Amino acid sequence: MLFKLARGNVKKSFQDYSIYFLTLMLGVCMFYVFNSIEAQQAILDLSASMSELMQTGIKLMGYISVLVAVILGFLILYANKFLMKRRSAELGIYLTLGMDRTRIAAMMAMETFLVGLLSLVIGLALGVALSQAFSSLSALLLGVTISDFEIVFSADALVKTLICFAVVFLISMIFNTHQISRIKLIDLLNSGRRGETLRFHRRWVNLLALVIGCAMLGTAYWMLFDNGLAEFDREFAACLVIGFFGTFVFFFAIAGIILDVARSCKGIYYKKLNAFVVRQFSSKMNTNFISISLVCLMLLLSIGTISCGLTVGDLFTKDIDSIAPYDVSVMANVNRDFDREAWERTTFARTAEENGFDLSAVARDYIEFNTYYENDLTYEVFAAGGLDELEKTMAMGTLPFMRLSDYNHLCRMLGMAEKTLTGDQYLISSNYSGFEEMFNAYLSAGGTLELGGRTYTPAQDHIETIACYTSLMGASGVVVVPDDTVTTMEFLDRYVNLQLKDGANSLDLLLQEMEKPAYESYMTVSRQDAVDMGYSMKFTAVYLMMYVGIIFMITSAAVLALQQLSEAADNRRRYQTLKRLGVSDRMADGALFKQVLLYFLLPMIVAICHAAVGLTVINNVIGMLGYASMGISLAICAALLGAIYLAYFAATYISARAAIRGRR
Amino acid sequence: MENVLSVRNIEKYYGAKGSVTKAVDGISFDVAQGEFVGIMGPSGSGKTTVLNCISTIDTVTSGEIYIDGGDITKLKPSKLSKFRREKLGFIFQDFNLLDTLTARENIALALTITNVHPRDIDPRINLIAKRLEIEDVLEKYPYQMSGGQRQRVACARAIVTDPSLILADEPTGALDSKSSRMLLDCLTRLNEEVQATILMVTHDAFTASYCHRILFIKDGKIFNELRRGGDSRKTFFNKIIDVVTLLGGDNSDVI
Repeated sequence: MLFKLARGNVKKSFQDYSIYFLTLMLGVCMFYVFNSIEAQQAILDLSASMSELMQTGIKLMGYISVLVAVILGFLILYANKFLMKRRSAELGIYLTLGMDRTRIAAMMAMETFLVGLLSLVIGLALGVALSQAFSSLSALLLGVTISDFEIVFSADALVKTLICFAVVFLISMIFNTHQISRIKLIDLLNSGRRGETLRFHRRWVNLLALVIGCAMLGTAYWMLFDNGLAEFDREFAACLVIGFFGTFVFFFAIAGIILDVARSCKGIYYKKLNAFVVRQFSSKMNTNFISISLVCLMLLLSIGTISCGLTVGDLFTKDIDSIAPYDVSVMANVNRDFDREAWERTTFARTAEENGFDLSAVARDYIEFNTYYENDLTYEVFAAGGLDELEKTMAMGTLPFMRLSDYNHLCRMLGMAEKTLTGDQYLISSNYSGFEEMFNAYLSAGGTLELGGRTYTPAQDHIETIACYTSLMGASGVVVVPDDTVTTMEFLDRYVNLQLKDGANSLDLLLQEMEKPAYESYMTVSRQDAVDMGYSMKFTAVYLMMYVGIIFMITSAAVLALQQLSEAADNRRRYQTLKRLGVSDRMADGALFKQVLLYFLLPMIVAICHAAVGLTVINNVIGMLGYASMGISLAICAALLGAIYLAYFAATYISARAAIRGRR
Repeated sequence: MENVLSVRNIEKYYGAKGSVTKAVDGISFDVAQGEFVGIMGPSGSGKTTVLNCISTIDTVTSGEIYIDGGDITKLKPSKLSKFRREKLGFIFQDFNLLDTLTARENIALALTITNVHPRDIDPRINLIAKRLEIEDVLEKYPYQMSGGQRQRVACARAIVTDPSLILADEPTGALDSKSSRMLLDCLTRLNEEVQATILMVTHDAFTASYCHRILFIKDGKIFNELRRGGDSRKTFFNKIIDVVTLLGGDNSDVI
């Protein structure tokens, strides 16, 4: 009996459930998609090291999923509360008919379970379908191909999704039961006709708040431009705080201001249903300004994370060519109390020869060279102050020197122009962006170096950006000096850079050889390592930010939708009055459309304003580093978020329209 | 005098084959320009159905209703809203004011949907507000007003478009006696001063005593018609009570 009633209710009030359904479905879908990424590895051509690197990202995704589950849980509770309110009169009738509260709670639980089950099934189906599309995206992000195309199904993700949503359901059921046990019959029956008291703030309060709000936002924008994301210091924190509260103050005032402005334009205000639409919109904004502000900030986060995710992701792969110019770099550190003669004798080439390994069989070109150090000279000699904490730590590293002839060999290897030094000159080659400014400032000021009692002047006023070995993060920098300068210096490191032959297995052969105990002191970094590292970091960054961004989007759109629909009963009365007065269905629908549209548009516009400023600044920073603009990222972001927002808008409008027409 | 409303033999059946309920069973009457007509009858007599049919909210099963000479039962659904907003004014039992709008905007709404020029709206509202003594509540919201004030605002909304016919459905139903009297005085004044034609449904004899003429309906048929003529309101009221007793109104249900 209860089940029949519940099923009938769901069928009858599916319009009421549409937002609940949409949210749950999208939530399940996203939850599955992002948890099934691990399973996608099955169809991707991934190297072993890459799979390993991806584990970090996947683990992070798992942690974020917990957060997502919590957010979705709250959203579902909110939706539940709204559904209860919407159907209070109906619940009141059940109570007057003598149905006891436990049965009502059971019926409600069954209803939410039915809707939940439906959305779970459809959400999972969508998730499975979407994750196929995501495997193409993964392949693109990872720079690999799909080995053989087949349907990926992740049982692990399925189980996780099921468990997570089962918990959310359980909590919402407990919450519902609690709510039902607390309600009073009289409130339920009267809930249809509560006296709405809407109070607008006084005009001068509004004006003052608007001025203050705009001033705060302006200040925050200005501070952001001024700071330029250069340093995450107090100014940056202040900018966030001012922006945060500025948004609230702005939304506090805007409803009243819009109303005042509209009312002063009598020509427009007194046209058709405009007065009604503006009133509907502003009264709703006025009562909900806090949640609208939060929605606006969530939208901002959503836009920010998705567009930045794509751009930041590119950063990890953009400079692979510059940090990993050689196919393989082999390096050894000098032990401080080493045997100089033994070091000079046991070159890498000789070790290979002694082990019967023919380097020229795998490498088409290779170079072996040493770097040197002078006393206790560190990068700090270039620092004229103004380094942040991280850079200070890095600058404490020993400053390496290398011979000009070795440097020019590297240039030849990379097909770059060779350099000459006349007399006591030096030049710096570095591709670590953190030091670039410091080096250039020193060089352009003609800063000198004291080496072995002689003074060296810069050969040019800017750095060279050739890496002297392949690394994962970029080389801090090396000072290139005339060959004879290093004779007075001590050995620091040994590097062997190899450009491999285009054979399928030359890298494997080399790595295999390096396993032998004779090469114990050598470390190997291949370009492949840098590629794997870069792509897996890009993969992690893009997916994480996308995940968070989409969830924020769903949350904010759902909150707006529920707020619009929560007053469906009031709206129905209002629109019925309008129709009796002779407003046609088309006119009424038009008014409703405008009302919902305005409500969805205003927080979005403010969020876009915020995002435009923030992204401009971020783009400035990224652009300064020489990376591509974020045009494509923005387009993808707009399409993705737009689709979700639009779906919610459409669902809200259709649902609200059904509500004002009344059920027949 | 010219007839604003002519109802010709209308019938309204509810239900399907087998169990047909005749809510309205062949009612005919006329309302002349400037008349103040009441419809009385016990609950379930069909009086509200008649009003709903005239107001085009409901449709008749057969018969014709002419307003200003046009047959509204032949109107296409798309023309109905236009007809309603241009020819009719409504006063409801529960006021039906829009709670998010001020009194002024509630009244203005009736004008804006008939495409009155924005410039002309405020003067017309001020004029009608003066007549109904609601000038000081124009900028208030419905929840800030008393029931009587709300109903007078609703009244202003109904009258401001100069409709051919004002339809009032139990306008005093939710008011106390003092507010009722004030509203009825207002309606009478409107009727006398601007020759507004009013058709009012009520089951309250006191309210009905303000009318010129009363139609009594029972079981979907016109049972009796009473004209006030030169009678004082008190005499008319007593006559009404007599008919109501005869009719077996609400009071006799107890027996």
